[in-house]
Amino acid sequence: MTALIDHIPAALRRPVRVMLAVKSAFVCVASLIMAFTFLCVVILRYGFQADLFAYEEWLLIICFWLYFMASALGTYENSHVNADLLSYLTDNARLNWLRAVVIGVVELLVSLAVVYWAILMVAEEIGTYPNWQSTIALKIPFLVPRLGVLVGFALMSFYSGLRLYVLLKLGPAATDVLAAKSGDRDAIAAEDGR
Amino acid sequence: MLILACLTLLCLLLVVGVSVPLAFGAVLILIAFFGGHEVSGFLPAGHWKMNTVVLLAIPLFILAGGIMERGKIAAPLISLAELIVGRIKGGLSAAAVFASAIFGSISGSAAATLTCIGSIMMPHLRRANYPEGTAAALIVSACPLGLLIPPSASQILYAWVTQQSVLKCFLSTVIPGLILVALLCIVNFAVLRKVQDLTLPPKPESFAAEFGVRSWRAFPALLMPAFILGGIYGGVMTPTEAAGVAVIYAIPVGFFVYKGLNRQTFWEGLRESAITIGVVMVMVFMVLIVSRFLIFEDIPGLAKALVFSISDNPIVILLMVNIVMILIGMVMDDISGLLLSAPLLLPIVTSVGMDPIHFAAVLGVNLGMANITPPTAPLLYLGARVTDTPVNTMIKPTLIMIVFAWLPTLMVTTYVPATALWLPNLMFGQ
Repeated sequence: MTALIDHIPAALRRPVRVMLAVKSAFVCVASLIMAFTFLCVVILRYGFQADLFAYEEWLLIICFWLYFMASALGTYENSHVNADLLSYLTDNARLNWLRAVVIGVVELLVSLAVVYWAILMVAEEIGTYPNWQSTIALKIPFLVPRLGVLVGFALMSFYSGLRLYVLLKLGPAATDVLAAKSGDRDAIAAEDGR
Repeated sequence: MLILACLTLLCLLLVVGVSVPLAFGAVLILIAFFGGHEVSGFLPAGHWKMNTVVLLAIPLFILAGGIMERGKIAAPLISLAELIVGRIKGGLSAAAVFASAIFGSISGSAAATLTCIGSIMMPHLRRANYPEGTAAALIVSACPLGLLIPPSASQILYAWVTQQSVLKCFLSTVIPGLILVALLCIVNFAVLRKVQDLTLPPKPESFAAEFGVRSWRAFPALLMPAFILGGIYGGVMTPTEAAGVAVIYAIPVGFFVYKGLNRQTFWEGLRESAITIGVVMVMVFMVLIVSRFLIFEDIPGLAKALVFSISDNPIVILLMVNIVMILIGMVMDDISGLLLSAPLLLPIVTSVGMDPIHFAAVLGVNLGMANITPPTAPLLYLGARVTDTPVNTMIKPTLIMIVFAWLPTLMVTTYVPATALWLPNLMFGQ
């Protein structure tokens, strides 16, 4: 099996690889920050009778970016939860391809609509400057996590578009490519190692 | 009418195979077009809802499960369970049930339990000539124990959505979980009684000495649920903090004790867990927005009126609620099913006198069962991949487990409130 990245336009391959590597590094580090923060909170509380001041405010922002960047990676790897019932009912490659195209079109259209809503949200947030909403203690603008939502959904749309492009380009033979999660991971791991 | 259209569209898209968050996104488009709602308010609503530390327990438990999986923390637990019950005919597969229950109390996740226990147990079961489909079906049927034996990420979510005590919700599913363990073992022995050529693991020279060795080896793994649950119930840590500490504990245990982790497997485990976190949390984000609009349209009130127009008999109403939850669970995963059904069904069950903590257990058992119920059974399909077993050989034995183990557990949990309430009341009073 080959990776999705091998079938996208050549000019896009390197930027896509770099984006995937950056996102992979970010989500790994953010996950560790999330866990270590709670360890620090417990140690500070019982070891030093102290609080980690307003940690929720910055941690939740990191987590929002983590959720949406990781979700974009999930879209690229086709890891999102779905019922996947019909694929077990038929082995017909053409029917499965057709179903995949329908799913691809629906997912692309819906994710574009969500991107539009995210743009409205961010524009509204920017429009309220200098009186924009912010966190209580550290005064971090809500724009920061909400930008993560926009970027995440934009990347999800982009990867949905890439997947649909490959589906249409390769025809029914694309089914193998789109199941090639391991191939994608190998490609990303190779990029990480560079 | 709009709600009917929303539900139809949702079911249609889910059955076709559209991913859960985008299927809910399509419902939002429908609401935007025909419900007259301001679209610029959709995503900020999701942000407001998810902007809470309580929900961080879910990604942290996913992360802990992922690191434990890569760290081979399940192996010594399985080895211990095998020693205890493995020498009985059919005992090896019963060991998988016990191991799932123990691992579930560490990871809080059904998928992590399935991946860890399934990948280790299945080769053992094959070598011992267990029928492939039955063995895989038993592993799949036991993995939702991760949702029932505390700590459980889905119970944290239920407690947050319905404003109940997390600790009471955790305890409500313990007895149903133990009943399920017992019934799964009984069904397993009954199914395997006529299979002739099962081989038993070699008898240890001294059971006590072997038990000591394997217990010592499993000790660091067993310590984890002890201090997670001890920390939570002792009031030392919140469930979110306990989940964070569990992640950090799992790292050195995986690296230096069980040696499943090295630099490469650690980063792979982190990356895969992070992707699962993104997939789950964006799904939660979208479902929360949709459920907000369902509540705005007073769907819980309409559903209650509809149910009471059919019958006001509590037994019938609880039966209908269970059927609705099974249907919801059959087209959705446990997290989105819970987020949708908890606010929808809680007003109905409380109006017939059911305690919200009791409903936590009913919901937990229901969604666990729905996740392995064909046709749309995410854990069944994941189990087929993990155990490398054809799905069609697993369906019949899975249905046997559902009918003779899961359904009786559900009925007892629903109609005997003490199964869910006895332990929380004992620990925290009425």
